[in-house]
Amino acid sequence: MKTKRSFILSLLALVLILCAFIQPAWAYFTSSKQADGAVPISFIRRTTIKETVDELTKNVTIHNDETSTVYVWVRARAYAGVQFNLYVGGEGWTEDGGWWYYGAAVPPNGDTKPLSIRLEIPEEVEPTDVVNVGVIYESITAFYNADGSFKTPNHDSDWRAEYILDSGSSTPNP
Amino acid sequence: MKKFRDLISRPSVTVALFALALVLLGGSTVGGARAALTVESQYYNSQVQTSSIDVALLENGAAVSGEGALFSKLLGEDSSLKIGKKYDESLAVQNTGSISEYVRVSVYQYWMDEQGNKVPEMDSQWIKLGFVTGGGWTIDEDSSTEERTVLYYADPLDSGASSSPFLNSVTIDERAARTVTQTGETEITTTYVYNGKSFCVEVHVDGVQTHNADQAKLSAWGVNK
Repeated sequence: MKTKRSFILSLLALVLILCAFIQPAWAYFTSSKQADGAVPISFIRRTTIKETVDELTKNVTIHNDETSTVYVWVRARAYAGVQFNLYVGGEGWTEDGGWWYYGAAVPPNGDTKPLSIRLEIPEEVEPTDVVNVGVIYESITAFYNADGSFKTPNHDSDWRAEYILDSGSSTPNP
Repeated sequence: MKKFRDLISRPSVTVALFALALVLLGGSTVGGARAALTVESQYYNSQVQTSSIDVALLENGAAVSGEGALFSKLLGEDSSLKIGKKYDESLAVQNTGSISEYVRVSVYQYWMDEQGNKVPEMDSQWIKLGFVTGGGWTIDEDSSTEERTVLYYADPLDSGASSSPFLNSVTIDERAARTVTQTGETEITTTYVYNGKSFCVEVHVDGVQTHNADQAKLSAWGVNK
C-alpha cells in the first residue's frame, strides 16, 4: 500500500517537473474584417426589322427591343436579281464591303434611321409582276472604352469575334 | 517497466522528484516576478490603459463590412454594367483601434450563377481589378492565385490612420460577353455563357500588433512580411 502511494506521488512529481518545461504561450493582438459584393451582368439582345414599301423603294429600320439590356450596333445589306440595280443609302448609314453600317449604337427600345433601297429596272429588262428585294441584317452587343464611351466595332473582326466555348476552353471563332 | 516502477516507488525517489519539481517551478515563478519588478521600476508612475486593435475596410472613404456590402454604388448612373468600362472603386484600410498595427488584405474574385453559387470554371481573370502597388502596398506573388490576390502594407498604420488605396478600379473584359456555346447543326442555338451571371469580389482585411511584430505576424498570418 505504501509502495503504491509512493508510486502515485512520484508520478505526480514527474508531471510537475514536465510542467516546468512547458513553453509560455504568447497571445497577440489581431483583428480582421470581411466584406463582399456582387454585380450581375446581362447582355440580352433582341432586334427586329421593320420594312415599308413605296413603289420601287423599300425603307428599312432596325428596332432594338425594349427587353434588350444592351445597346447594339447593326449592319444590313440588300440584294436582288443581277439584272436589277439597287441604290441604297440613308442618313447615318455608311457602306463598306457591301454592308451598310449604322453609325450609332441603338439603345433598348430604339430604332435606326431608315435605310432606303431603291430598285431600278433597266429598260432592256422585261418587267415582271414581282421583283424580290431581300434585306439581311446583323446586330452585335455594343462594348465600351475605359472612359465609358462607345467602342466602335471593327468592320472586319468584331462582327465575327465570338468565343466558342468547347470542352471548357475558349477559342476565337475564325 | 517493472524496474522503473520499482525505482520511482521508493520513498527517497519520490521525495527527490518533488524537490526537483519545487525547484523548477519555483525558479520559473521567480523569473516572472523579476520581470514584473523590472517593468514596475521603469514605469513607476505609469497608468493602466486598455488597448484595443481593430481594422476597417474603406470603400470610397466609407467603412463597409459584411455580405453584400461592396459595390452598392459601383454603377453610378448606369442602369446596368457597361462591358469594358473602367469603374472607379477605391478600397483602402483604416486602423480603427487604439494601437498601431500592420495590415494585409486578401482579395478574392470569382463568378456566381443566378442562384448565388460559385462557378469556379468561369474565368475569374476577366474580372479585371485595378490593384495599386507602389503606395506602400506589395502583392505577395507566392500567396496569390488566379482567384486570390494577397497584398501587404509595408508601414504600420497608427491609430486612426488610413492606408493608400490598394484597388482603384473594376472592369469586366468584353470576352465575357463574347463567350458562347453553340448547339445544333442545321439550326444553331447560341447561348451566351456569362449572361445573367454575377461577378463577385470578396475582401478580407487582417491586422496584427506592431509590438514584437515579427513573432506576431508569424503567429497570426503564418508568414513574416
